[in-house]
Amino acid sequence: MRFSNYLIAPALALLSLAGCSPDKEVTVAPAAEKNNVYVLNEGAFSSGTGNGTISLFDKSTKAVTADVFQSVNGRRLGNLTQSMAVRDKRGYIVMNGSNKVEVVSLPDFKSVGVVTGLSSPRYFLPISTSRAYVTQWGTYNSVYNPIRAGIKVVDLITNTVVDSIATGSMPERLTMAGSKVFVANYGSNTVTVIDPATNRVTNTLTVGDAPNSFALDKNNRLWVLCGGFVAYLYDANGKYLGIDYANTTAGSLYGLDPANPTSGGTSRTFASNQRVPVDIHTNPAGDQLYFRATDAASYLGGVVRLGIADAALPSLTGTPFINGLFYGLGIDPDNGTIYTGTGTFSADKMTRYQPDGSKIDEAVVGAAPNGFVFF
Amino acid sequence: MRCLLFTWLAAVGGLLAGAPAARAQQPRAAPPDSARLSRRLHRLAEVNVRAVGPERFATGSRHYEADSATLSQYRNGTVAELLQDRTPLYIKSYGPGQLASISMRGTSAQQTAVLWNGLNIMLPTLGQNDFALLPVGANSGLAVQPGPAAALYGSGAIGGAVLLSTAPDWRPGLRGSVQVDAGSFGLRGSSAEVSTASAAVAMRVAASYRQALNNYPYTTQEFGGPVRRTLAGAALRHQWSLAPEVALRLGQAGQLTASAWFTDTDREVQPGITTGTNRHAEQLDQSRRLVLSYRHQASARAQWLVRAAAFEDVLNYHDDGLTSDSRVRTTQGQAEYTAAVGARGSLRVGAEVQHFSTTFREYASPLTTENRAAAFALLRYDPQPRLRLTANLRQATLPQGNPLTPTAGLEWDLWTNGVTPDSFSHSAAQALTLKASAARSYRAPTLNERFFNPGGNPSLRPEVGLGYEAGLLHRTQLAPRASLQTELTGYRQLVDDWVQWTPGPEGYWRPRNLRQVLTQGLEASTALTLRRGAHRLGARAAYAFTQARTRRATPDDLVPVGQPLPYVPAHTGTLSLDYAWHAWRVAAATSAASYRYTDATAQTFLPGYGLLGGSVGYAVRLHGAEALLLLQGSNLLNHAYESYEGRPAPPRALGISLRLSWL
Repeated sequence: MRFSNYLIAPALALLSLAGCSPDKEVTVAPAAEKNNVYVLNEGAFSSGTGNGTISLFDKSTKAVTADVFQSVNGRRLGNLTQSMAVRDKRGYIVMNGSNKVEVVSLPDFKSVGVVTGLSSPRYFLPISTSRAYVTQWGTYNSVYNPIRAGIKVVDLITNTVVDSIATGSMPERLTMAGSKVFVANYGSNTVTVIDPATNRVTNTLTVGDAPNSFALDKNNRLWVLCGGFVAYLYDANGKYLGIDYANTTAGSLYGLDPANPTSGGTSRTFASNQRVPVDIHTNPAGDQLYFRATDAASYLGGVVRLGIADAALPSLTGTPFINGLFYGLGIDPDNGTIYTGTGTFSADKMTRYQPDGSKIDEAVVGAAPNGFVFF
Repeated sequence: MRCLLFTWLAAVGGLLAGAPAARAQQPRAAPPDSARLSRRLHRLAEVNVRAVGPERFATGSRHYEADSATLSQYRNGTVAELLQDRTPLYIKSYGPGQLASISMRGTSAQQTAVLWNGLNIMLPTLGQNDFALLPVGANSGLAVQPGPAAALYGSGAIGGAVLLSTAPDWRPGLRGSVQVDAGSFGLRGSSAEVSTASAAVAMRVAASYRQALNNYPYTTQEFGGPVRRTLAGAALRHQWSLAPEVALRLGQAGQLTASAWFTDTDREVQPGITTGTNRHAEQLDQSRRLVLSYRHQASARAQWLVRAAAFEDVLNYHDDGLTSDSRVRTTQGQAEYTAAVGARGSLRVGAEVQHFSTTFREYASPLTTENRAAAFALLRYDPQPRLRLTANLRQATLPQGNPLTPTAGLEWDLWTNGVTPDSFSHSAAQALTLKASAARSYRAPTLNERFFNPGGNPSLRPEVGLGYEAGLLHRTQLAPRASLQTELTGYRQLVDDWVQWTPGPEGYWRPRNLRQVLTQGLEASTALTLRRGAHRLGARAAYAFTQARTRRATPDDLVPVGQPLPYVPAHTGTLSLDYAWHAWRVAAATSAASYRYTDATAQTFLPGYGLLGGSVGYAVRLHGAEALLLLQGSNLLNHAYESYEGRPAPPRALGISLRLSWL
């Protein structure tokens, strides 16, 4: 019996399945600048894989290109897209779980380098054409004390780590203001001030508990948003029971002069400790501050707005400026459009709002969009 | 898109081109006595207390049963490996010996019921099975019934059911076999099976052991080019399985069977390769399952069966930062009564109760219990020998909701070559049968979904599905000992109240009855068996087209309408060949899957893959014993692929095994 022809055709057909890929062939490599929004998708955590991606949103066409790094470079970006910084047509993408910074040329997103030798890197700040700082949380020793937390100094010509600077616990966002670098020590109540010319710490400022982000307003005042320390309840067996609001401190907002940070600072504490204020931004005019009032357990919350001259802090528990369970926030420096990202860590979207808070549109992006970079 | 079309055309073309070539060979065999056939259907055996399997009430459904040659070949493997190689089901696997979960007809892993000897063995905390924890050798039967079948198999049978079973071997005398295996990447295994029977007692013991280092090479794409690495932290430290069974004949009409299945698996949990750190995760899974069943032949036309079962499942996970130990005890009872109804029908009525008791620190209460119960009635009625009907009904009682799940099924021989075949014989020279069924199905919320702290949602409703399928089955007897069976099925199912974990205003993730998912697809398979002289050949090709898409986005569910579900490849297929000639044994299996999305919003995907595996063996017979030496290879084309994102699958691997059997 000739069963060979009966078998060979299906066998070939089966193997040819392997060559197929999705219908929506990806078009990438944007040529133009100014219209690109890079959506930083931290990655799904439910899978345990945490494959972070970056979606490209084109402001003119409203088109979203999924996983632009993989599309252009044919390999994965890595685990946990934490943040991205831009300098001299280079994008520096901090991959927290993969302990590296991927370097791409912009706007074509081609991979041009990688910085390794990092440990839980968080945020990246180029301080000159040849140097950058990366904050990193490091790891924990056997008794759960953090080790190797601080700043790594990166040579942007060779993309290698060349030096370290000690900071406080869990250094988070960092910014340049008044020719100094300010580092928010999220695990403490301090801000480390560094002179980038010497890589020396010049000051350690005391602020509210758990400083997490900075915004520089039109009057060159540096705002430091502090989330407050969150305390957790455990039973006698060490089982997690929930947030311990009796011992959770309320968030606060500090304002200081970056040229003279040790004097003339202001501090205001939020009325409620039920929400953690994080992720502060300014509008293009530099007269409005936006941040998220998040739940202490889910890190999600609505967008709150504050004018720089407002006497009173807004309520964190009342109706926010933009209601929602947001994980990411960004303000377009061109036109003040507000970008938010949801935080289901699986099926997420970004939503855009006018500066007055009215909704413009929404688009599906990757899992857990935590930030937006405009280029 | 073009490549998919080509694939489909080639597959169909291949099947069509092959079929007539194979058919135009032999004159028709003489038709068997149709009267005897139709009578045999409704008479229960008097001497042996023979079970009437649930498939008797599954008229109109598809059914795949692994034959004894396949079971024998995978005896030292797991159910995951067998299904992956031999069926177009997509098994999402982290690696060899690692977590392997199933997706049947586009549904989730929790929507496939897994039964062992008629009892649900899905892990009650997670509500699913890791198919890498189910060694094949413990069982003497493995069947798959895709499609909704909750009336027959209870909770979870939305996408389908995987049915594992053991059966006493009543052939008198002592028989047994031992096997040792060794393979690439530190694979070592051994197994033994002994069975013996007298007139009144039958006994079988099957045991197996396996370990593997899984230290295989893989390549990652990094800046500067591909980097070759060796997988670490993925060892299967040990996997034990012990399955003893004793059956006693009690008088002329009774049979008491005690079956047990103990499995113990200690393994490292493969870290994702995109993560820079190995958290040294490891997991210990132990299951102890005991079933006592008594079957009584009340008369030639009626029998009843009672079963009592006690299961204990342990899942202890820990890594550098987390320890999670759980233990679930399940007690189950089942009773059913089956009787012939007139000359053309049979009816089964029964009930089952389940009690779960869990010790898990992650639950709000240290000891959490849940009870479930169900009653069912199954009717099979054949108004004519060529028209067979079933109507089944199950009423479940769950803590939150009491789903009523009916099934209606039909098989109609549109055209036969003068005889009436039944589902279980290949004696027709030629037959074309129309099959159709409609079923409602459900899945009870898992204990984790209800009680996990924080987040557990005790008021979660069961998921429910409503599905239809229809197909054509063509069977032909090419020669006295050659047959060809081809089946094409189309299906559609809407699953509602699909549970999703999402964050909410409470501040934590919580499972909610959010989603509605429409699954639809086509399944085609064709199987050829042939015996001629010393040649024995079995060949099977199977293809599935699967589409699972979200249907409705509720305000809380951010997934837009029409999103394809992750890890549901549109195209899957297998082609397997088993051939024996004198002392030689040859087997080959090809399987392929098209690309699948890895996230909920179709942003990222894994490319498709095709795999080829096979074995060559030589058997020597001497003095009632047989020695079989087998060389095996998997992923022979050395294709680099990932079944689950970030977990590289093994490259080409070779193995050798030696089996000694006393018959």
